[in-house]
Parts: sequence; C-alpha cells; structure tokens
Amino acid sequence: MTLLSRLVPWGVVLVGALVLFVKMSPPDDDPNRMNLYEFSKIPVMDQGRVKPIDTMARTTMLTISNRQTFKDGEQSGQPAVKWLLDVMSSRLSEKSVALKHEVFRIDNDQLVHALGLKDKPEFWRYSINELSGKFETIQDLARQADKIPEKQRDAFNGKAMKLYHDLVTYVQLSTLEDATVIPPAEAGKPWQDFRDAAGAMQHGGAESATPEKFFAMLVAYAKNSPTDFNKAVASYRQYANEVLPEQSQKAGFEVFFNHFEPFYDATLLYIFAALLAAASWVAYTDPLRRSAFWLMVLALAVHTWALFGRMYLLNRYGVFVTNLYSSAVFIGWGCVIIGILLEVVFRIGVGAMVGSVLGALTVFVAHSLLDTGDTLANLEAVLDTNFWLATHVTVVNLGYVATFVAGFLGIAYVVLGVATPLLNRKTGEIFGDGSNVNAGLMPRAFQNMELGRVLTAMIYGILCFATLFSFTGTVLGGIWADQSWGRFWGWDPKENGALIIVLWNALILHARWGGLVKQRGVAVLAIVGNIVTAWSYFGTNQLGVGLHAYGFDDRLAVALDCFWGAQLLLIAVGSLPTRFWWSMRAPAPVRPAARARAQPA
Amino acid sequence: MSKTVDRPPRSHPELPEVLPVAAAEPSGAWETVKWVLTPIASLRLTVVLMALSILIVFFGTLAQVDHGIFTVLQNYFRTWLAWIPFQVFVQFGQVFLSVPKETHVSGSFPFPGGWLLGGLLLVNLLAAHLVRFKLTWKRSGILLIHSGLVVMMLSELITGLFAVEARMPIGIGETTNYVDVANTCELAFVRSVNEQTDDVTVIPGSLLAKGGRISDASLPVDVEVAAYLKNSDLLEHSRGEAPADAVPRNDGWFFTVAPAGEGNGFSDKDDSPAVRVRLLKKDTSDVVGYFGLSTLFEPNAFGRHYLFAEQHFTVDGKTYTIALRPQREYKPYAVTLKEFTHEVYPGTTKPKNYESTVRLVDASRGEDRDAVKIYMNNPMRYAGETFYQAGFFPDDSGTILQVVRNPGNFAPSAAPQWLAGYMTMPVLSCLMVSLGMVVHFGLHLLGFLRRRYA
Repeated sequence: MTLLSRLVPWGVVLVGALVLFVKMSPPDDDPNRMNLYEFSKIPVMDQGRVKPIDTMARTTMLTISNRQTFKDGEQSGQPAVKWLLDVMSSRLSEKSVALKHEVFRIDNDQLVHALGLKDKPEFWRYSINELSGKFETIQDLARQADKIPEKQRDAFNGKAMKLYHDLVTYVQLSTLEDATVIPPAEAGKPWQDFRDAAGAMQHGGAESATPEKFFAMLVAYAKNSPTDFNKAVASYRQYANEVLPEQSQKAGFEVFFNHFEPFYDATLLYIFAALLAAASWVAYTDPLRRSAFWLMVLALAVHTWALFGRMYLLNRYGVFVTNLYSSAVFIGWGCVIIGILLEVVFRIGVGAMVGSVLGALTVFVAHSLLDTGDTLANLEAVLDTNFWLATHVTVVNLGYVATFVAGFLGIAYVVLGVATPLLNRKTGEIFGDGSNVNAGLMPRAFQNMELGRVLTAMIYGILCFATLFSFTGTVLGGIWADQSWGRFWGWDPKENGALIIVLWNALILHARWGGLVKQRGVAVLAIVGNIVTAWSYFGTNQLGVGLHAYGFDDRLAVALDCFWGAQLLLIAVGSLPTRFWWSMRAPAPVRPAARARAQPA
Repeated sequence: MSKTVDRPPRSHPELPEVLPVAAAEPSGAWETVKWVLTPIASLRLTVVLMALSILIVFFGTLAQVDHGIFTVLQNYFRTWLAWIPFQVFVQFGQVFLSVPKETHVSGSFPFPGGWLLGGLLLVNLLAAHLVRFKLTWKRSGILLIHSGLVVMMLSELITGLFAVEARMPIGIGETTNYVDVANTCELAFVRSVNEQTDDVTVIPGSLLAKGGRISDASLPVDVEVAAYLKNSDLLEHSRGEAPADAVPRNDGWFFTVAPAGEGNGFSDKDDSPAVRVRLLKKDTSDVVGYFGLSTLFEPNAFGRHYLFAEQHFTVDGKTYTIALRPQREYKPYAVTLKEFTHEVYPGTTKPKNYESTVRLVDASRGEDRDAVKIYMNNPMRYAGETFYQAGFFPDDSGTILQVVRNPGNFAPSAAPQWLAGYMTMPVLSCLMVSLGMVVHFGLHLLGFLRRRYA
C-alpha cells in the first residue's frame, strides 16, 4: 500500500472534522451587533416544557412558515429568533419590520384566490401587511370550516382554519399574551405570561423584577441599540442562571444543539461516504472504500452524540425514541451501525454503501417530519414510562433497522447483478490484490467466494436479526399494552403492521430453509421487506390520518408511493430471467455461473 | 426413526442447510403416519400459510377504515372464512393513490379467516415436529421458538373466548360494587320495592339484537323490538319541537335516538347501542308505551356531566323505570374512590398523569386494601382481575377504571403486585420465542464463525 493511499482516508476524515468544527463554533460576538445567539438561550415555558426561546421561535415558525429561517428584506436565511424578537417588540417601535416579514405559508391556491392574494409559486408565504384587510374574511372562512364535521372538511377548510390559528398565534406573540416567558421566583411555582407578571408588578404584588428585565431586552431591541440589548441579555441570562440553574444550562445546550444541527451534519457526511463507497467500485478501490468507512465512523460519532444529547435534554437516559421524528433518526443510527459492522467483517464496500445511504435517507425522512413541531415535546401520560420506551420502542425500531438493511442489501444484489458483471466474481479478485480483503476480520474463505454468495450470506444473517428484533419488539409492545389497559393484542393497524413485518421475515427464512428460494429469491423477497416495513412505519399512520380530511397532508402519501414504486421496479428487475443479468451472462473466471441459481426452485 | 435419505447436495455451504425432507417408502405404522404427515408438514405449506396470514392481516387493517374493531375481529380474524369486500382496495387507493372519495365498488371474495389460518399453521407446525422431531442441541432453539408460538396462539384463544373487559366509573367519594361490561347492553326494568331494594329484570342485548317480540314470565310486559342499533347518536331538539318520545336532559334540551356508523378502528370510543321498543300488555296488543333508548342516556355515558330524565311506565298499577344500560356485573367487593388527580403539562391540555386513589373492601375474602394508587402503567390487581386507569369525568369529579379478567394471566394471588403483571401467557411465550431465536441464530452464528475462522 503506498503512502498516498494510506493518507487519503485520513485526509477525508480531517476535512469532514473541519467542516464539523466550523459548524460547531458559535456565530461571531461582535459587541457592535446585537447578540441574538445569547438571547436565544433564554429559557421560556412553551407547550408544557422549559426550552430556550430559540426552540420556541423555531417551532412556532415551523408551524406558520414550514421553515426555521426567513427572509428579512434582502437578507435571507435569518434565524427564527430574530423574527420572534421583531414580533414581540413590534408594538414598541413605530416602524416595525415584523409586518413585512413574509412568513405565513398558504399553500392552497383556492385559499390564495379566495383572499385575493397574488400567486407566489414555489414560495407561498405572505406578510401581515399583505394579509391586512383580509382578517375578517379569514375569520369567517375559519368559522365556516369549524362548523363542518371534521371528516367532511377538505384541504381548503383545513388551510383556512390553520391560517386563522397562525394569525392568532402572531397576535398573541405581538401583544405578549399567552407567552409564558417569566420564570417563577422560586422553584415549584408556575411560570407566568408576560402580561400577568407585568400586571402583578404594577399593582404592587411583584414577586420579582423579572418582567422588567425581560421588557428591557425588547425595548433595547426595538431601539436598535446593540449595547443596551447585549447588556440587557447578559443581565437576564445571569438572573436566569441564578433562578433556574439546571434549566438554563439545558437551554444553553439545546441552543448549541439547534445551531450545530448534528443530524443534518451527519447526513451530509453520510452522503459523501455513500459517494466515496460508490466510487470505490469503479476505481482506486481500497483508499476510497476506507475513506468512506472512516467518514461514516465520524458521522456516526456525531449521530451518536446527538442521540445522547437528546436523552440529556429529555432527561430520559436509554430512551432513544419518543416520537416519529426520533424514531427515524434512531433507525438511521442503527442502520449505520449495522453497515459499519458489515464493513468490518466483509470489507467490500457494501456495508458502507447501504449503511450510509440508509443513514442519510432516514435523517432526511426525519427532517421532513419536522412540521409536527417540537421534537423534544412532552409525552402523553400513557407513554410516560422510560422502561417501556427503552425496551419495546427501541427493540421494535431495531427490527425496522434490520429489515431495511436486509432490503437494501437485496437492492445491492439486484443492482450489482443486473448492471455489473461483478456478482459472479470472487471478492478477492474484485477488490484488488487482496491486501485489504486479507486484513482484519475478513474471513479468508470469502475471498474465494463469489460476491453474490457473500451478499446472500449478509442478507440471511441480517434477516435473522430482523426476525428476532421485530418479534420481540412487537410482543413487548403487546405486554406493555397488557400492563396499560389489559389488552395484549388489539389488532389495531399499528400492531398489525408490526405483525406483518414479523410474518414476512419469518416467511423469507422458512422459504429459504424449505429450499423454495435461493440467493436471488432471498434478495428479491428482502426488497419486498422494504415495502412491508414502510407500510408498517408510515402506511398505517397514513391510513389513520387519511380518515380526517382536515390535516391530511398528501406529501407523505406521495413519498410513500414513490418509495413503493421504486421497490416494485427493483423487484421486477430482480425477477427478470437470468439471461438479462449481466453477472449471470458473464462466464465466471473460475467456476461456471452459480449452479444453484439454475436449479429449479 | 429412519435415517434421513437423499440429503440434497449442500450447494451453499455458507447458508444453513436446507431441511431434509423425509421421502422414505412407508413401512410399518409409524411410516404410514409419517407418509401422511409429510405433505402436511411441508415448509412449502408453511410459506403459503404465512403469505395468506399476511394478506388477511392486511385486509383486516384496511377494513378498519370503515368498521369497528369488533366487527373486523368477527369478520376477519375470529372466523373460519372471511369475505373480503373489493372496497378495501378502493380504500387503499383513496388514501395512497388519490382515488376519488366517492368511488365505491360492491362485491366481495372469500378468503381463509384467522381461525382457519391459525389452525392450519398450528397443524403444519405440529406435523413438522412429529415428522422431523430430533432432540438435539441444534434443534433446541427451534423447539423453544415453536412451543412459544403455540403458547401465544393458546393465549389468544383463551383471551378471545374467556377474557372480559369492563368499565367501573366512580365519582369521588362514591362506592361501587358493579362493573359495566364493555360493548354490551341490556334492557333493564327497575321497580323500587322499598328504600333499600330495587326489583330488577333485564333482557340481554343479544336477545334485543334478534328483534321480534320478547315475552317472559319475569318481565312485567311483553317487549316488541322495532329496531336495534349497534351504535347510536343523539339528535338535539328544542322544547317546542321535540317529538313525543324525546328524552329531556338537565340543560333543557330534548334528545332522540338516531343510528350512527360503527366506531372505526382508529377511534377509541366504544359503540353506544340503542333500541326502539314498544311495550305491550302481556299476551295482548294493548300498547303500554313506546321508547327509543340508547346507552348514551346513562349518566356514565358522559361522565355524569349530562343527566337525562329517567323513563317510566306504569302497568297493573306498578311503576317501572326502563333503561338501556351496559350489561352490569355485580362483584363481591366494593371500590371507593377517595381521590382523583388529573395533571396536565403547564400551558397545555396534554395529560401528564391521571391517578385514582381507591379503597377496595371484599367482605367475602376478608380483604381491605386502602389508599391504593392506580395510574397509567400501574394497575391494581385483585382476585384475578386487573384495574387500570382508563378515563375520567369531564370535570375531574370521578374516574373510570377498566376492569379486565383474563384467565391467561396465571399469577397466583400470593404473587407480589410487581411480579403478577408479568406472570401472563404472552410474557411466557415472548420469553420462550426470543430465547429460542437467540439460541438458534446464536448457534448458527457460532457455526458460521467456527467454519470461517478455523
């Protein structure tokens, strides 16, 4: 191995680490500018939990705008907290810019036309100024929609109600009503909204000077005086640290978490790792494959840190999954770990490829689920049990992980078989002189084995795990239900979805044991597992959501259709007669094309 | 036992071997039995049955868009033959493929039901173990997995046949000695005998559902069922325009019974049956009264928030109260609700905790448990029954406990509370199957590693 090829992986990882480092560092703290980053760490009470005002701003903006940034005049990509400050201080200055921010998303052309707004294709966001004069119409439309039974509401009704609700949120923020930003003077007492607290202070019943301190920040912001603002923020932060030491610390961490966007960063690294792994199949095999591997390890480190960071914020150690969003990022994490393990054993780039593709894909899915709001939200009473969250939910998600990994390995089998001649060649030959393949845990015997057989062995092993985890996870869920309301199995859609995954995995194993399928059959059936898992994971939810026209968002259905369509296509390709498979046509250098495949099922 | 013959060549040494299929000529009684069992024990059959099971579960899921879980259970899972309406595919299309909402396709096709598939899988499994039975370490995992699955199937059977789910609504300070069995109803005739005693006669819901005229010596009248509704809604009328059979409510409105679609599988609301009856003097056609009654008229239907006027009639000089209520089951014990708390997360309506503090007194067993706390994921277990926190009255003035009796829970009464919850058939089966898989796949993995790294 040349020195250069030794250094390439280190170079790649170093670049990745540098990118992370840059993303990690807080924005500049120029004393002549308002330090929004410090302000965003201020703890507030919102939706039942103490969080930094940054998260409140982001989730509010996500609801209203489906984004976490906005365009301030000519400057795009402005942080949500700036919008929140503009709104909260809008009544303190004569020329408030809050009215001009185009943040209210109306993505229903029927509603846009009903309100006489101009079309803004691809953007669909409107400002208070644009909406002024239409408030009564919006209120009327929302009232009419409210009278329609939930099941009969259409998208237009739903969007009208949502817009009205968004406007109410805006008004409440701008008048500081319903904004519980004032912490209790002593622990155990309730938080107060600004108006109540300020009112109490004026009437002599002040418990603390907190409302005044909070107000000082807004006034300084409205005056556009960075010095005053930074001073007021520092003073308020110091005060919050004294009153709520633990919660202030967590709020600070959460702001760092929000700013760092670890899942997003990990996704970027996964995408690059996947590209490197793909490239390694073409040329410069070993250095690229190792680069992909180590980049994946770096991304996994970030991903892991983020998962444990969430546990710290939620104060639920051992609980990876509390909602759909976190289950998607957890599934990605599991897939990456399996990918890395596969790569450690079988050094052929397939583990790196499948792991990083699934890592990126799942975080992407999680990101598109963001509009469900605060990802660290409190749990309903029935879900509030760390024991079952740590056991049932974790294990059932590991079942999804293994089923998806097996399915994507199946895809690798089909793609490599149809589109390349590699499936029938020995791994030792494909991967150069064997210097890499020989190293480490890669069993010597695999070098003398065709890639197709190695892949099938991988799929088979992962399917065993998938069966174990999906079964145990599903039954643990039943036991939890039995503990919660005395019914082990209710045949409800979510349970049925999980049952189908178990049955499907068991079916593949039995078909394999019965000799009904061989290599190719196992691979194709594993791809069907992707369809089955997506059904259980999203389809059953969609079926429930689909009942309510209001709130029904067909983006998820469209995404599912695309995913299912792609899998069906791969299954069709995988079922083509072997004469269409490049790998099966090409005569294998040593052994004739796998005999087993030619045998009748 | 005969030796295995004609083992197929091991074409994939890296994969587990294909199971040997016994194909010996029958010789002797055992061999005949084996010859019969072999096709029944085939793995091909297993795979086909599993595929059919997946499909019936899938259809049973889609069906829940339109139908209540109890109907789906009866028509898909707890039946031998299911008739799958073509409409389920349309529904799939409506949710996922933007098929228009109004599309409707009639007709249905037959499909093996849950009982048939479960039974066949069981037969297939037992036959396979008979034919291929070998008590070796290598097969121990499989044996454990499959016996665990048998335990689970039995558990579902026992639950399906014997488990009873009921509700116990109690106001704060009240004491209750009966439960309302879920998804049932009975038509009750109550006559007050004296201050302490009521004389109660009931007609079970199953009889009402059949319709027609019901006469019985214990009933004060003959009952003619004009209509029986599986689920009902209430129609609101103002005083001026209320029909004669409307029932007044404590807020001045009047209500009549209207049919409602069955609750679907996605809502957790129970169905509220209703009945329209004509009461006739025994063995005559003289009408005593005409009533449209729903279980929604019961005070507990709305957590005591709304109270509907009791319905009375008089026959032979005696006055009776008539009501359609969930089937009541009286208990040897009484439960008193001492306290109920309902916490929400600050600034939201999201529940953080519900908790009932109760006292249970059972004179028949000399039991007196005081200050027992029941909350989510922390039920109370007593004498084969489990009491779960299930709901509450709208103004937090009382609790609704779910009371479940399932003979599949085999914990002896002496078992400590924390352990009793885990001494159930599902837990046992889960342990067996999971352990079996760990053993089976673990042995495979060990063999794999040994071969590869030897």
